[in-house]
Amino acid sequence: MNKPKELQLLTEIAKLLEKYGPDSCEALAILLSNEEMTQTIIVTLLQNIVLKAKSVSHNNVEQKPQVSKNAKTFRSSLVAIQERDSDRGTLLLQLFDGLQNKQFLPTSREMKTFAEDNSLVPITAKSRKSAINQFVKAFLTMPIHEIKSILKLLEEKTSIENSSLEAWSSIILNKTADIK
Amino acid sequence: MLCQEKLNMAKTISLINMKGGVGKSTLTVNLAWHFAGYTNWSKKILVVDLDPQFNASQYLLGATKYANIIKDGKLTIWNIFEQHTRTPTGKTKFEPKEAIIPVVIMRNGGKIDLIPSCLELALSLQNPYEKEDLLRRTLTKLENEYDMILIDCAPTESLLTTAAYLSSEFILVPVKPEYLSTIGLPLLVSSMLDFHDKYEEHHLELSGIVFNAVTYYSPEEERAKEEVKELAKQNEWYVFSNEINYSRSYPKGAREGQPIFRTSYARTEMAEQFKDFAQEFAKRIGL
Repeated sequence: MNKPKELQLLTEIAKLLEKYGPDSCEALAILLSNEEMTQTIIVTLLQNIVLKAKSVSHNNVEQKPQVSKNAKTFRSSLVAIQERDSDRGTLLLQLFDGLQNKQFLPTSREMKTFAEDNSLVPITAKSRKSAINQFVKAFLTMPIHEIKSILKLLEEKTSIENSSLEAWSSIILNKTADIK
Repeated sequence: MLCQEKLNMAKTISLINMKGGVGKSTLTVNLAWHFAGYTNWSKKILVVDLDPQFNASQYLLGATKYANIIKDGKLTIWNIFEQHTRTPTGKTKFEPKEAIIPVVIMRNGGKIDLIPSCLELALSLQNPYEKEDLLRRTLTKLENEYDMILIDCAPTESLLTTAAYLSSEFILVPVKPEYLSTIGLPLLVSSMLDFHDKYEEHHLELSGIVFNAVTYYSPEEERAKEEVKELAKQNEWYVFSNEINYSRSYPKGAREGQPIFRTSYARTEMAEQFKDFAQEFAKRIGL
């Protein structure tokens, strides 16, 4: 460990240990041990650098397709997780796709309040796409049973019939099986 | 003998009026959100839905979650009142914590839990014998878990009203300033007097009367308010100086399971107005 830049990076990581706790760091180390995952992260980081450079040059026209590509890259990293850890990857993809197609939390505000209400990482991103990535990232190292319970909650919360008179009528008239 | 065992930790407040449709459930849920959600409060709140119409449960849970609770056979307020009822298979052991449904846990440490209600609660009223103290006994076991317990009452005099009085330190009376709504107030007076006659050792304080769904529109509304204030003066009751205006954001919030301060369309002044009332209420009950 004589290389100064690597030592500097290690010092920075050590500082983050306190912030995120040893469990999160250990989970990240496991994720990074996968070569494909590491490659995906490097690609994502590089793309972010390109995006930032473009925003400095105020080239807004070309940013939109780049963001969309970024979302696809994020999804492909979830697919990579699925190949390695089928259960976790499937749940994360279900969550990501549900948010993307607005099945879950169709507005950014709903996403923000849901994160607040369930003690998840606060959503600070302004755009929905960035917010989705930020939201899903919070689940990467979460125990599977917790991801499942959050997904169940999302399904309950965002069920189309959730606040309809028809849904309540079914309950009151003892036809609960009809409720999703 | 029923004696007062004050809940040491939680402030227990019943929201009651002998008239329906005055906004009891909406006020209960919005107060719960206010004290749990705002960082300067961050309180642990238990909402007890004591109305067989289960509006507070509908507001806080939504249809799907509520249906799952019923389908999974989870406990409701009904089980509290029927915990000693023998069935052909004997008596089932009742654990108060099993009747609690977590609704929301805030990052700030605040939370809202609910004891949901169900239509079958109305059946408990058919056989009220020795059931009136069961709610108080149950809530006493939970006293250390919460800062505030809000009981959303049914708008009729029954076993449930007595159970709410026995469980509470305070009552809060929302009144809609209109003729028929205000008549609920003398009915409440009568109910409280009957209760005090029977349970004179129990200290029950009226925290105040709050005008709800105020429109500032018709002279009729002003007249109703004046009459209520006069009655309050005669009985030395407190009338909150902060009133709650009518806002379409309240029913919209109920549909979305959100309090008024979380609805994107609520005018800031409406949310602020509720905040002012909540502050005054907190001061009244010594929170």
